[in-house]
Amino acid sequence: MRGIISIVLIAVFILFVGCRKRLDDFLFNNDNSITEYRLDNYAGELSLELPTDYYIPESDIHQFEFTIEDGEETLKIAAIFVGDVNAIQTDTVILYCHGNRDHMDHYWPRQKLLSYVGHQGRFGVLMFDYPGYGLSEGKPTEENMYAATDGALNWLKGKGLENDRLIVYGYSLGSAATCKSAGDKSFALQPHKIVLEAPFASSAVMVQDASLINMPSSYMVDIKIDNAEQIKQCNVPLYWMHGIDDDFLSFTSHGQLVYNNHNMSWKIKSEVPGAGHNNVPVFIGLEEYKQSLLSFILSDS
Amino acid sequence: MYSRNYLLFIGIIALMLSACGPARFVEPLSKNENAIGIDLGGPMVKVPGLATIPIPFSSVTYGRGVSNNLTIHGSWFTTAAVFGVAQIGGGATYGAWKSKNQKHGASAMLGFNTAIDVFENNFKFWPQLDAHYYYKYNFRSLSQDDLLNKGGRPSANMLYVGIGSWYELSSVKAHGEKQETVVVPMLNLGHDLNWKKWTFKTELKLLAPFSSNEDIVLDYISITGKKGATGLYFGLIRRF
Repeated sequence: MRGIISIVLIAVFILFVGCRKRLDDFLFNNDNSITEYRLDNYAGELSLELPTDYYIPESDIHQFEFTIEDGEETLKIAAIFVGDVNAIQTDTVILYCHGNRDHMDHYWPRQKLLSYVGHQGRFGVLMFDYPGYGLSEGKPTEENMYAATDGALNWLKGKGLENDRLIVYGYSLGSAATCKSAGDKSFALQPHKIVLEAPFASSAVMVQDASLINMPSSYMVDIKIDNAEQIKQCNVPLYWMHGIDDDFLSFTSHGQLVYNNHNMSWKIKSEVPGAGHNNVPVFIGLEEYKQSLLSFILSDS
Repeated sequence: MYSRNYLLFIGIIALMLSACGPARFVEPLSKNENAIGIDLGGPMVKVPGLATIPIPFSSVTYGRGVSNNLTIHGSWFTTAAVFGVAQIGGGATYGAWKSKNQKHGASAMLGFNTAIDVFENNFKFWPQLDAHYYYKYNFRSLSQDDLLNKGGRPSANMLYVGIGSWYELSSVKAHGEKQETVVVPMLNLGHDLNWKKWTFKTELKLLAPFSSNEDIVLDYISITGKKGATGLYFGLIRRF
């Protein structure tokens, strides 16, 4: 009996003191195996199937890199700007913060679609890969994701963009970077308006949805992404769109919570029947999707 | 379009913590009898690209018969410990009724589960209440050992069915939202294959059979379809 108790106590000690596994490493679903961005020639799975008439002239596609600091390390971040770079100093620009999948090739149709808001090339659209995604260097971490977002804003600022002409659009994971950029004054620019498509509320909501009971997320993860609270700091107009049938980030417990926690009176929403997590523009209808974004961007109140 | 890995794992671990093990000592131990058990299993989920599996949640349980009708027990949840969560459960099982021929019986268990993590020291306490009916069959002939150590109780295999329930005491959840689920009910159907000193336990558990399992990150497998989850548990108990 004494032997059994000793073994159990040793096992308790080893497990509890020695093992403190966290699930944060599973957050990022990056693919950094590519050697170049293939855009329209990309053969992998796409975030959206666009009709072939969504064409971007070569002269409007600008692939480039900017750098950010991760501790003592300098990281190259890959980015694509679609539009006229010279117009950044005078016109409105959309910064697209993509979701958690692969890299920019996967989200290229989304960038093309946004570049057709109004008409092709009406607004410049910047997309970048988070560290560890695609050709961007570094490790995918929450802090690096924010640093890369700030780096993208810094690049736009260097081209002459000002706060009142910046729209930040966050899809899924990208909603974290969007809310952070709008709520924290430490970023190079603060957006004039934000768009959140299928936003993630917080790890706590995720845990509680799965367990039914009020279980703290600290039991599993360290990550601090908390759009439900961060959105309270975002004193800019919000356009929220979410698929009612989103079976991944629930319409009610994630999207609606973020929307309700936004304190400004100027906010609009598209609750999209039939849409899931990754097809909201399709279910809204591409034309209506573009028109609603245009109205939001151009509207004064 | 997106990875389910992170959210899938969060969901899995969350559910593991809240659906932590099979019913404990459905038939109370004999007076002064001790038992140590280990169990493995959990709700079944569809893991994309892999298979449908019961989540491998594990715990270690100790029980002692205070009387022939009352067993106290405590459990330590080893998988939770891997994640830096000290989760323990405890309770008392009371044998409420037993037929004269000892083939049938019923018991109730009042217990608790509590957890605290080492990172932010978030503490939780959940009361638990279970009730089971059991039916014993395949009685072995009464041995001298049975007479001496088990109060004259011969070994037999056992089928049981019962209900379990966890209670959430918080009225609010994250971000000040109302905590709507107060009781998480479970329906347990199990079997104990008994030898002289050992028991092999198998249990099927219907978790939260009235709650929707849609629009969350996990693809639960449930025999009730779009409600709840079905858990599968295995355990090994040594009595001494």
